[in-house]
Amino acid sequence: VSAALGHLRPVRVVGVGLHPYQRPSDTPYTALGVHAVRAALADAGLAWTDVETAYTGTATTAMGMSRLMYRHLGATGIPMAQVENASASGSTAFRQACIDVAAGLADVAIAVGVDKPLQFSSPQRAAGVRDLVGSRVVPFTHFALLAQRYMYDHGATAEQLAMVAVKNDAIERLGLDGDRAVRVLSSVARSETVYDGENFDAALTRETAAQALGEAGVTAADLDVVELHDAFTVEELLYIEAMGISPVGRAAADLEAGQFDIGGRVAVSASGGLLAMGHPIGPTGVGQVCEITTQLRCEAGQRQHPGARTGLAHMVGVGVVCIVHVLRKG
Amino acid sequence: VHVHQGAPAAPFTIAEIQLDGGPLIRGTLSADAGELEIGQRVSAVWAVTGTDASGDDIVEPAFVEAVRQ
Repeated sequence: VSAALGHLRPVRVVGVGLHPYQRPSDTPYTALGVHAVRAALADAGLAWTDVETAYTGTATTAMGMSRLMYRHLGATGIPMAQVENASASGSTAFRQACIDVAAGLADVAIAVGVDKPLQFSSPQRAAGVRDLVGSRVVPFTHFALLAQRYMYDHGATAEQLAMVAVKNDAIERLGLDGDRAVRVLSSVARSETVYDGENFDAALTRETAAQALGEAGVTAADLDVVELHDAFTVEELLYIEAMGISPVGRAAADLEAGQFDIGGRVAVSASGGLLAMGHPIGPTGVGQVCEITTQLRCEAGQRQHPGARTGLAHMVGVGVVCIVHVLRKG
Repeated sequence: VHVHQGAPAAPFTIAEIQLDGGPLIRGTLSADAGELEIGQRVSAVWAVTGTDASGDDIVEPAFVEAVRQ
């Protein structure tokens, strides 16, 4: 038996808060997280005592970390848990909060993303299984291979790929305010299968986005703002095509034509995305929801995409899990 | 790869290899593979990459242009 989020109780984002992403510093994660939680509560007009369940997206900090953060807001006895899902940790925490509300387990749930790079671990090493290339393929290598293949297949140039970073770096930062609700139309999480030689990052995104758009009752053409996992420039092009926003092989040209700019056909990574806003891992997926909520409220200032009504948030986690949320205002 | 932490020492080249049987794998090009291009057929030669705890060689396939076999 399975049910889509849209078949359960309505879920709405009523408050968002953000501590600006920053390079590693002496600021403890508790201060980063509590700052964001207080901002979100103020935005929603809620008190910490209204929150009935809490999920913390985190990948590299420490076990059992939620309590040390939330106790600064009050030890209210609510259920709390850490959610680790690599780059998609924050997205998964948000999804769990949505599920709790949709299922009626809570009326008010909070998803927080926070990370301090205290302990990195390698799942391959822990798994005890050696593969052919081992540590020789790190993310830079992986996405260099994808970029080279994309340029070979579609004739895209290195300059066109670089335009992803140029576009995303030119955008102003957040200014969050307001208390209007944004509906979460769908929440979908999938993991990789076997793709018969196809690039698994794009294939998994295609499956997950198609399901999320279908459950939301919208198409790629309906999207006004998209936040996606653009840790590397080629990812933006691959995922845009996988989501159906551009035909296969057309994303580089559409990018160059300005179609993904603020004010273009669909604003992609108006926040600056992972490349420019940053990718602190645990917080990133939650930060995407902050940005889309701000855009759909038309409160993004100089960063505002005109007429933004429907948004999509997308994260992958080490390429093997993918989380997509579709949100709409009104 | 021009900068790499650990073994093997850079530079080395990683390639995606589509096997005739279907699967797509990633492997290292042999150090003397020369300039290969996407679409060229390759085959594997055994390369020694280290020694295990028993003193036996650890080998893995490295790829070269197929016509050189």
